[in-house]
Amino acid sequence: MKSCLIWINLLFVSLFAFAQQDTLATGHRLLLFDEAGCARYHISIQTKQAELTGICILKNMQEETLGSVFNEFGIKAFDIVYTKRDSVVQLSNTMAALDKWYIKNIIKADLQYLFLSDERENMKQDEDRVIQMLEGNSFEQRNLKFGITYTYTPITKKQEEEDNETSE
Amino acid sequence: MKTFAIIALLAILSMNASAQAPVQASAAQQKAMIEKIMNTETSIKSIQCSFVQTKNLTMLNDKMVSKGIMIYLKPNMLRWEYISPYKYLFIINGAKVLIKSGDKKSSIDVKSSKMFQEITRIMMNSVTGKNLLSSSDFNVRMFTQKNYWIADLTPKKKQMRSMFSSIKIYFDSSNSTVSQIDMFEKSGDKTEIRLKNPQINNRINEKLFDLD
Repeated sequence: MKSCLIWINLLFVSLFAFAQQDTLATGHRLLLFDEAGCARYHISIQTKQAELTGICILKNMQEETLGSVFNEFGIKAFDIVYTKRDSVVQLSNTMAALDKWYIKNIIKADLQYLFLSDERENMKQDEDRVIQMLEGNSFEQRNLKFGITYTYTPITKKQEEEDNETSE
Repeated sequence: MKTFAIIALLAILSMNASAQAPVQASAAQQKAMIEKIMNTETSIKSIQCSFVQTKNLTMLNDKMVSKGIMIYLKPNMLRWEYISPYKYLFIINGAKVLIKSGDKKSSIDVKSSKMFQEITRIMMNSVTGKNLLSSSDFNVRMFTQKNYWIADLTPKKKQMRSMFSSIKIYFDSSNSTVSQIDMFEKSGDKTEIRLKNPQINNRINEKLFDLD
């Protein structure tokens, strides 16, 4: 019985080590960048008043991460530039409905928390923001102060290719 | 000999360029083309097709391809469904809209939002080409290119201008039906929607537009 428990324990330790190695190899704790440095997510933004959905595409580069958020029809919500050296997020081409300084400030701060949490192992606790992993590499980021929940569900390249093959 | 080869090459290149470039229609041609498109529009009762949407992202130098099915039923029903790589359903049934994303459903009364009202109206009119008649919404210029008639629409209204710098609708010149819609944004991004194998006036089950 004791030996069985040791084996189970060893199995868990090795699985955990494997998962850690995977994170360290890519250098990202949350975002799933592919070999081309691209991450694609279906995103849902739930506020107290409404829920918006769309696509978020991120491109990881040496000194910055670029991104674009647009709805399913292709209409752009905003573009993102995250400068890694000073951890600053800038938004551009923001759609009229979101183009208000107070809305942009919330989005920028939430995105900055996401990028920092993705790159840092010992991320400092933020009393207003929480990130929780969900099934299938999805994750949820909550802004407790403003009651906003962002849910990121990965769209993998493999899934896109499979879908393309089936519909061709 | 060398000079001759260069001249021949330049001549071939310029001929090729002129064959590819869209040519603007004269005022009389434009009137005739719009008339023909509107006649076709009048005869259309339903359209059913698959579509491929390609969003070109200038800043990321990347694109996102999504696929789906579109069904239109006169006078005011549209089912626009993405099936890959994400599931998203958008149904317009009169003044009501249903949006289903994943397992979540929400219905909207179009009358509650002027912007939504505009978007749904322009979506429906783009599918049939009726947008060409809405002179309050767009400045229209017609072009011809190979087997296509291209309507270049520049939005007049501020709300629409904030989303698109222009919209191009491609009509198959053999049957004057819409085959492609290109939407250009101020940021330089372009969304291209290609309608594939459109089935005109097939019998459509109205249940497909149910909002429950």
